[in-house]
Amino acid sequence: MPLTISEDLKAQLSLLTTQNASVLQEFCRLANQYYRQEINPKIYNSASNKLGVQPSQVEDAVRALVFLLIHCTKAKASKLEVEELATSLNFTKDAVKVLADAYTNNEGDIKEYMKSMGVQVPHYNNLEWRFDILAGSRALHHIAEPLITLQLFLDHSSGIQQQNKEDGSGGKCEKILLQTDPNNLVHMTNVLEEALQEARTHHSRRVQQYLK
Amino acid sequence: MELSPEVSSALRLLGDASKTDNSTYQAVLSAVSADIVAGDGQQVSQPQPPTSGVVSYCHAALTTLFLESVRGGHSTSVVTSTLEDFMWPPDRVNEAIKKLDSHWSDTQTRLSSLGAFPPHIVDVDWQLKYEVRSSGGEVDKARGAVYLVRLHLDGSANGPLTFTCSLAQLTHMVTRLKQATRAVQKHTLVIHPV
Repeated sequence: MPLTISEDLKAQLSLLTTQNASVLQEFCRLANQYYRQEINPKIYNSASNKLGVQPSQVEDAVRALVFLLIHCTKAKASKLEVEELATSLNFTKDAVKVLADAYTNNEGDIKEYMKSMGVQVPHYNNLEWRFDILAGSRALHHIAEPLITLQLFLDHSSGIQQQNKEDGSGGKCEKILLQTDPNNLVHMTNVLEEALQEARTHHSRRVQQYLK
Repeated sequence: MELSPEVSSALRLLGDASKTDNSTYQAVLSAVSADIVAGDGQQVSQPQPPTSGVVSYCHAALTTLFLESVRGGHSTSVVTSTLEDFMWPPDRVNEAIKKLDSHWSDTQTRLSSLGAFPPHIVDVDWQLKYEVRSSGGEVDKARGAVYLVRLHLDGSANGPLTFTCSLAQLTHMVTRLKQATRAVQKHTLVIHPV
């Protein structure tokens, strides 16, 4: 089935169809930065000056290009289908090649960006523990209460943003301080061991087989 | 035991049989006991006029005495000698000590809940899911099982804590928890050898 796009999207891409391949290459680079959320609004201003259009038109064109590439990725289009679609939109021959290359080279990034648009729940990263004896507090002196302090590390960002952090902090990693007592620690361990057992049951394996 | 001059003078008044009759003393004693046992949010007792001013004063002082005794971990002999210093008759001293003893652990429980501490885990729920598809595109089949874990917390303004993890990550978490459990059990055996 040939790839199709809406009339609105075609209209937004009209700015790009009149450009030559090198300009389109720049736009593809901007689209790439868009996935990584690295775009600086000043770039729109300088591009609009060079092309003689409004900055908002440049921004719309970048967004339209991003949407086009996502649309092709969702439809699992082949390189040929993308080229056919680009040709039907009146892109020049060289521009078609640039577009198709942008699609295939950045497939991984596009997929990561799409994942970040989905349902986001904090994800487990690590758990550190410490066993303390509480000897006293302002409200109560001379006690000996066993306490287990836990530090839970949770990731909030998607994969692509984690890759971009150069300081090695691995994206937005939240550190949560918690505590529990020995009874609740044993209870929690037993309940989560039951959870692990559930994945090893015949029933879970059948569900997994069905999805393969 | 350190007590302020206001508390000391109120206790002297409460123990003086010529100034505070037995029925008033009993009313104060039972009101203090009821307040210690009352849960959070329950209304504390209110004295009735015309003696309400004196009764409130003595009630506050006796409550302070009870709380400071438990807070400081003072033995009953220390409390007894404190009350004897305030010229309390032996029968009133004995009754007060009996009440203090009977409510000792309740008072300790309430005092231990005061103060700053991180959210306390009291329970945990889990769900095992296999993702099929999402609006973000096809789900990576290799991901397999995804666990949704919810920790129920006491003392947290944000409600329960929810997060996801893979099978490998949950195994890692359970391993860490088992390490902590072994450490606790080892030290418990050292303190209370069987």
